[in-house]
Amino acid sequence: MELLACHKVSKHFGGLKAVDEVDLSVAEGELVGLIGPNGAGKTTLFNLITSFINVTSGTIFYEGKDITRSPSHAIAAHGMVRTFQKINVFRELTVLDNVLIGHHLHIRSNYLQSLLQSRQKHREDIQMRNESLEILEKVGLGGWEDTLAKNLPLGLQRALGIAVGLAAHPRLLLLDEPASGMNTEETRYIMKVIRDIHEGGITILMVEHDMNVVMNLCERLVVLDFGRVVSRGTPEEVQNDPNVIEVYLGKGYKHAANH
Amino acid sequence: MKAKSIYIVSGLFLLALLFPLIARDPYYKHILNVAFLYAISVYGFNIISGLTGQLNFAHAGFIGIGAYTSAILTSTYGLPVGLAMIIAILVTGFFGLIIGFPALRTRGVYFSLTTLGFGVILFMIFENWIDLTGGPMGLTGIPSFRIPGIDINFGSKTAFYYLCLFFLVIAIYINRELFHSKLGRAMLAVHGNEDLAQSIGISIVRTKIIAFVMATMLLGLSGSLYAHYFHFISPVSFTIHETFHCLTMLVVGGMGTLAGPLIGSVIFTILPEFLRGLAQLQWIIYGVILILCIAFMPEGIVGFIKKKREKS
Amino acid sequence: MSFGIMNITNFAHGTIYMLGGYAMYFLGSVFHLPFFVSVALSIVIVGLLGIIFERIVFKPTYEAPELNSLLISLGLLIVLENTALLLWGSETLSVIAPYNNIQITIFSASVTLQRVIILISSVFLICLLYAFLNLTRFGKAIVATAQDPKGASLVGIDIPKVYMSTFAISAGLAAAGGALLAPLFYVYPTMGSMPLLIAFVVVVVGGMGNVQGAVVGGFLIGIVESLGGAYISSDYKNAFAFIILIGVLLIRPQGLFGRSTK
Repeated sequence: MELLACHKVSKHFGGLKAVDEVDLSVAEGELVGLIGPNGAGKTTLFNLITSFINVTSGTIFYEGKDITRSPSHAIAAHGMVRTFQKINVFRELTVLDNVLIGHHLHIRSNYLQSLLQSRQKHREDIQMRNESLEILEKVGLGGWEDTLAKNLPLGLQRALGIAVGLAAHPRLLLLDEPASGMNTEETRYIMKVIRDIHEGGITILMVEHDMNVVMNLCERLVVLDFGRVVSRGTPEEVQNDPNVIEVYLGKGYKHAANH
Repeated sequence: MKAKSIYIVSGLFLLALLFPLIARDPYYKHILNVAFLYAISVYGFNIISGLTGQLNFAHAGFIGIGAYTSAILTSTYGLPVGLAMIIAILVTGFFGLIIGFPALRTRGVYFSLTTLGFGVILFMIFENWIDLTGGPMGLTGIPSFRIPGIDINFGSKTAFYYLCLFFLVIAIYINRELFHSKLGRAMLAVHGNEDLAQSIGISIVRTKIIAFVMATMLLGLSGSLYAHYFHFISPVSFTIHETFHCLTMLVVGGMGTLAGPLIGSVIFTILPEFLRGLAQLQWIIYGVILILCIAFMPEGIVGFIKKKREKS
Repeated sequence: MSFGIMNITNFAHGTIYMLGGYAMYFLGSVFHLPFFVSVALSIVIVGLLGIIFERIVFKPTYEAPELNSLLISLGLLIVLENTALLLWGSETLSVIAPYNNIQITIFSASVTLQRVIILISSVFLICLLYAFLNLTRFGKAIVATAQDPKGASLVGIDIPKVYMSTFAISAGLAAAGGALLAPLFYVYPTMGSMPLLIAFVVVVVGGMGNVQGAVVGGFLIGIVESLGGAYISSDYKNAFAFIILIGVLLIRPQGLFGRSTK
């Protein structure tokens, strides 16, 4: 079934068309890549989908519901969680606390129950802790629970950002340049993490620059340039699309297809 | 809680319970009463500013709302003190809601300045709405706390000490349970990284407002207790300088910690007493302590100790 | 300057204004220096003090969260205000106003020359600041540092020097305010409190980091305060600035001229 559907989504900043009538859809179980040169509008599109900025026109549907005007925090409640291009973690908290916060939406005991020292809450505390530790293992942060997030090496901080998102039990995970700023080792590692997440049943829409990552992970690609979709298809199809080659390499390289 | 901590806390609590019996001189009880009154308000401060990271510069103004509400209801309208106190808490929380709602849509420093503005406005209302608040002359003849049917004179320093201790424990408990709950973690998340918090479903505005109302309710309690202890209130107790005073207690004690507000309150209530002989120099020392603390120990005394423990 | 460009919330700003006032008092009334000389010297002396404050008090807080600079400036405020109280007592001192006797009539309002001088001096200083920031090389370096400290240092801008200068300018301007207004409003240790609050309101209403905004905001608030005080209620006169602040922030949380955060 179709999870995410964008219809003619546009964002204008004054005269600048950052995103220009983009149609995009993601079906359940897919791993879709959103690529394009710098400034093509990829992160802006992410921000529009997750309501971090408002659309100028167009609609966005999630599981058939119109979420165009939904507030950002409600998007996660629907089941769509995003990560960020710049590394975002709760710096002053421990790795474990970071992931525990991620569970926010799925914790059922409230503050009142805390005050009353309810047993249900204590049980849930233990359950959440165990779940968090599992998630940390999955992204390769096992053993780091008590380290402060700001003291982690950058590659692991990024993994933590993904872990926090995972704790929110998304059906659709939007990854914004997960391999950004990583060396070959770290990139290979993040790729494995993403592949594992996908195989675990989570649908993924990913913005990425690293062609290695994109070509090896994504089943399907959407290419943006100057805010417009210029190509769609499998990685092979897109690789050979003359439009795409022109976008990345300039007009003189159209002949580079099939080489 | 670790076993060692339980012993320390129980020991301290026992000491606190026995204190009035050990220290006979009412002067010492008075000092601790004042310290505890401050501490209750600083625990409120801790919720909105320590945990949630939003600096509320209308702190003293809200204490004033609690104090004036309780004072007016009891001395002008003759309501029983217990009822007046409850109403004062609710009224202050209500003001927290209506002021917080617009104020919390601003972020960071802007929120501080907005609350600063509200604090000044509140002070001006206390000073100028003479019919209601008695203006600069203040309100006198405020009755002591009373439990109907039980014949305890809460005008005495000892009785009030236990009353205050009771509410202080409640304030500490409220803070403690925040640390372990979904709500408290949401506050920390909003403080730490608003974008990340939103991406996993935390409503920033809702969390901030809840924190603000919780804090202001504690401030209302503190103000009401203050009124029924000193039997006299005037606008001069609810100025921005008082907010700075409480902020110093919170910061030096340790923002966002559990013991910080109490430690800060006790230190900065006792310290002025020691320094009283030095008159004007006292405040200068105060300011220097604040500067040194921020420069070298920005997480406060309790935070500093925690950091040291984590390193080892 | 300190608020918008250095991103420091400096609660001691009012006390620096106060220092300007006291400097004016000593230079003008005690040493009997000519008016404009006193003003200029006050600006320079307090500006230099500002550099000391910046290096000792504010520098430790740069890497720390914004809150810290606010809190440490609070400490500075307490120290300065009470040192002034200790050294100079709490009585209000009056400073000679050499131009107060001359009246000028503009349209139907009559003002003393003293006030006109204040107005002209303020405008002059503001234009000077604007020209400095936009036309001189060092001024542009300051603006660049405000926008991106890392980028600025990569390009070779001396960041510590920029911060020292920015704060010195901030202090100097505050002192100018204190010195110019001293003859009108007397000099006493807590004279900086209200100006501090108004200054914050002005910067926020005008939009952070924006000189034009600050000017418009300043005039707007000054006018509303005076008119409000005269026609509505003089008791609540000071509240008007805050009511405007709150009103503006509710509608446009980034100030009248500020950049939008969303």
